Amino acid sequence: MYKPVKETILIVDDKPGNILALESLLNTTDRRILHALTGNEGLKLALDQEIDLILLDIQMPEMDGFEVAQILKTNKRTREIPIIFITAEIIDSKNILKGYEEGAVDYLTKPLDPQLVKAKVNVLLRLQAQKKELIEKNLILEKYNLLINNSADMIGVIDRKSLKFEQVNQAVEEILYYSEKELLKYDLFYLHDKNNHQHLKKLSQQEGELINFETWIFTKKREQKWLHWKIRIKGEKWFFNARDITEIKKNQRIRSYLATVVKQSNNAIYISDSDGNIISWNIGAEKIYGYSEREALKMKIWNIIPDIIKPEASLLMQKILKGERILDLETKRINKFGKLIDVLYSATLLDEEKKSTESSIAITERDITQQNIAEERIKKLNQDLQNNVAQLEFSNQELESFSYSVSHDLRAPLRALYGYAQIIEEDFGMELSNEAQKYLNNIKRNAQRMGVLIDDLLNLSRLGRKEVDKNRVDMLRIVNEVIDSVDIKIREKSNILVDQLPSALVDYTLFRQVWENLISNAIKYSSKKNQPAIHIYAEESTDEITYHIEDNGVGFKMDYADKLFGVFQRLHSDQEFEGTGVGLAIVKRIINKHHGKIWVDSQEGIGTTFSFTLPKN
Amino acid sequence: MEAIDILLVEDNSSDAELSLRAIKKYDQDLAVLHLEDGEKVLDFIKNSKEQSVINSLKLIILDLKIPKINGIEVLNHFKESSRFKNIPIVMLTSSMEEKDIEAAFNKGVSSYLVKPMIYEEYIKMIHEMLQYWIDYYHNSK
Repeated sequence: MYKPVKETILIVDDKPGNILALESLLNTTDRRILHALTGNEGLKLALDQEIDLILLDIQMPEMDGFEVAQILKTNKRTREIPIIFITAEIIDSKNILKGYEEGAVDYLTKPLDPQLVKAKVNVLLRLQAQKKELIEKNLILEKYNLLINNSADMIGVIDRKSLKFEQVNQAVEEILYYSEKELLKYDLFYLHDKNNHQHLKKLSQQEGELINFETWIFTKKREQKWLHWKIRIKGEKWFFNARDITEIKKNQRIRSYLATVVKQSNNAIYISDSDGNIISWNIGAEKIYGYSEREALKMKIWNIIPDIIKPEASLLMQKILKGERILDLETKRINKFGKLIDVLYSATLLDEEKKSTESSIAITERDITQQNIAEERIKKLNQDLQNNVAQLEFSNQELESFSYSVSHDLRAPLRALYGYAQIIEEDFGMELSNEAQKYLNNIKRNAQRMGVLIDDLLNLSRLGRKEVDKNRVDMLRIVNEVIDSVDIKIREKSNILVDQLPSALVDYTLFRQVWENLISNAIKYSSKKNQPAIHIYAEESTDEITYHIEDNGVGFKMDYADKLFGVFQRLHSDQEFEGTGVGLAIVKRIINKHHGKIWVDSQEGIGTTFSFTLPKN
Repeated sequence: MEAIDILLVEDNSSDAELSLRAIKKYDQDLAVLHLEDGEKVLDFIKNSKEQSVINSLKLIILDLKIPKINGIEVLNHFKESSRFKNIPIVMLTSSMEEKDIEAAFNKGVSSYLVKPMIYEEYIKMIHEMLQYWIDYYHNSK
């Protein structure tokens, strides 16, 4: 309950007799009475002291009561102090009005009725005390309210029987995303999964002062959160504090996972104290060093450091104890059996805030003994390979763009050469001798032949840049299409026999070219026989198909077989057989692009067989 | 300047001569203006406002690889000009590259022709092209 503080009354009157009279009238043991003879003096006291009531004479020289009151009302400290104006004997209605305007609380007229003065003073003092009390309480409440709403924890009241929320602070919005009002519609069950309802019911029946428990709940967004409930039981109410411990729970879980990971790791992970005593030792360390955890915990780290690097390791340890982190330092260790091991060493100081003599060092080591040996070799091989590939790619690209542009640029002058020869013939043909005509024809024929060479070269270079578009292709159909496109007389004379051919996964356009080149080759080189014969057939194994095209033509010495697939490589003169020597190079390139192989078997005068394989998938 | 029927943009003088010869062989009366590079074409486009000579222009034959400003850019300028954008443009080039062909058609050429090596084929091709773009196309409009 409120205990009244000692009341202080200030009497301001220019007549000491009046002051004395009032003082004797109002004085009690728990009251302090101050007095002032002038307005100024009164103001000074009011500002200096804790005053509960002022009795203020209106008619005073220098500064009258109203002026004093005006000043008191303008000051924050004194604004709330009740004032009783004391007037002169003659009641002046104008004066009374003026008094109220200044916000005076009351008015006493002379001659003063002692009973009335006492009563009024008592009432006003009481009111003032209550007002003060209220303000203080409000202040406290405001503070609490601030504290409660400032809390990151949920704080509130729950009805013990229904577990309904009755009051809750603003933290609910942060934790559960409900507004304070919204949550008051729900009970504790609503937040929890059905499986936990039974447990809640039991808790609600629990007697005692305090219960603590952890549960996971659903927020408004239906996400799960862990809450720690601290509940004070008071009658039928639960006064609760619920703390969001989702992060803590998560960290706990991660920590336990981490612990498992550390334990299971193939790297050596161990902890030493500042003296080098090993105080933790995982399975990886057991594997690498051969010491069991039990053995290791009796050892110092110096037991696994080779003597020669001990000084250096000792210096390193000093650095680590000062807070330096070591990452992947390559160094040597020695295992239980005296074998030297290459390791990548990392170390971090734990408990950095402690004195260095009390802290520990976390160490991880990876055994790279084998790796080091292999790595060196692989690195070098890889480097070589990369260099070669880059070089090859570069020269390939260079070659292709070169041959492409050369082919293009070669065509223009050739076109001119041929064109002007033709123009001479057209415009001046009549004036030319037979011999000149013949030479002009030679120019034209050679230009034409060079044109064909360039076209073939262009084909070949375009091939290098073309993407292979693989589809299931009926090889028999392609072969028949190609044969059908050959001039009928030649076709009939060539006597081509085609067996059943398996289909393959290839680029149609490219294989049309393969067969065109191979078939026209076979026709060409067997054309001088009396009875040419060409046979196209295939064999299949589990993972590849081999196609053959066999002719009974002129053949060649196998010594030249490897030259056959090169660009511009010809085994016969132009007079014997026309050709540019690019066709087979194109064929080989296409087959290679399909991850196949091509080869040739030939016997001079007997015939030639070209064979190529294609992988089945 | 006389009225122009055909604008020929070609930097290679031999090719230009072949083309001109082919055009003259097709129709002696066709007036051809020959420009050697992209810059000259841009000047021509710029100055075309005051020139009535292009009122009779029926066809532009454009080489792809020309000095200074390449054929595709020149093409762009033609298509952006209100005076030229409806005149058919035939690309006449030695490039068979897919990207060149694609670029040309994307920019709105009417035909893309690859120069044949053999004179007779060259003449024949130009004739067929003129038959369509000079006679058929303009008469059917």
